[in-house]
Amino acid sequence: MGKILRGCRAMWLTFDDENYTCLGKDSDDLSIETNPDTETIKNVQGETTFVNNGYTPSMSNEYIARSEDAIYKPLQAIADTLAVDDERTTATLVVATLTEEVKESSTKTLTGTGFKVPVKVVVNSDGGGTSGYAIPFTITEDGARTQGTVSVANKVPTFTEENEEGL
Amino acid sequence: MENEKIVKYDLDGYEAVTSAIMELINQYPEFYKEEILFSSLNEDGGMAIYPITGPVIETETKNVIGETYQVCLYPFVLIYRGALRSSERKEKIKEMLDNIGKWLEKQTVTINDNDYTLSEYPPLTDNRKFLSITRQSPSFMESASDNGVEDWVINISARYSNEF
Repeated sequence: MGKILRGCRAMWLTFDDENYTCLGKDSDDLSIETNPDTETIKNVQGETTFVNNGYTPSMSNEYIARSEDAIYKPLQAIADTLAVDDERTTATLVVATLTEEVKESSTKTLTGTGFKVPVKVVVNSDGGGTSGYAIPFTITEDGARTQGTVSVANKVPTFTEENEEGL
Repeated sequence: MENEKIVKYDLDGYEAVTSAIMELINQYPEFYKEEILFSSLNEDGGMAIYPITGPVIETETKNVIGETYQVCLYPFVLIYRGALRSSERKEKIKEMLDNIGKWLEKQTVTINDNDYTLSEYPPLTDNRKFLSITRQSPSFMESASDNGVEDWVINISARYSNEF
């Protein structure tokens, strides 16, 4: 009961669908911007209609590089080569709302519901300040979201797709 | 009315950090004949470390994963007590204390024509790690008693991180 802690909404990124990095270790604010495309139309009769043309979700992450992170080497490669090809810039984002903060998964298995979606990765800059080597990047969703459940142990997620009946 | 800033302490880390500092400072190259003690000095002489306060939590942030990152400050004073009869002897003690401070800062110190550099700080227990150890003052004579025993001190502060 009560408000859900921010650490319960966990986000992972993977470039190979096997090795995941839980995003946000150096962030006190991390959000997926849904970027809705909406308009409000008023007709000549004075009636107002609201139209939602959909979303173009994206997320910017002020990532501080860690050699043990699965996403570090692919991001370094994009930064070094300014890669734009699909092979090196395609990744998968997994997002879930867990029963407890994701840091607790180091001592117990957590479960939750969420989605998986293919994304494209763009590196925004390379370097940063003295607090650590930064490779800030932006990911943009590049496909449909697949709904499902997530089981997490040691901050590593296992995603199970929801079937057609929503089970 | 001004809001007073509440001072918080890393009480669980006090023992671990104190032990590590004692072990580290007793590794100083010049200390081959007497041990630096903790909060214990004889009336006529010796060397000891006295904490000024417990480890103070300087900053505390929480990330979106739910982890907390603290930077803590552990200030202490290193005291040399002895009967220093000559100006030359006082200069030597002052130089020794200043060199200990430099050595703890990972600077190179020269003792008897040999260079010594502290390469890394010792590990702390749990999720704590030394970030830096720095001098907060040059060494100076703090007090002198009637029988000629003087206290020479240097203020030092250890900064470490704690993640949980």
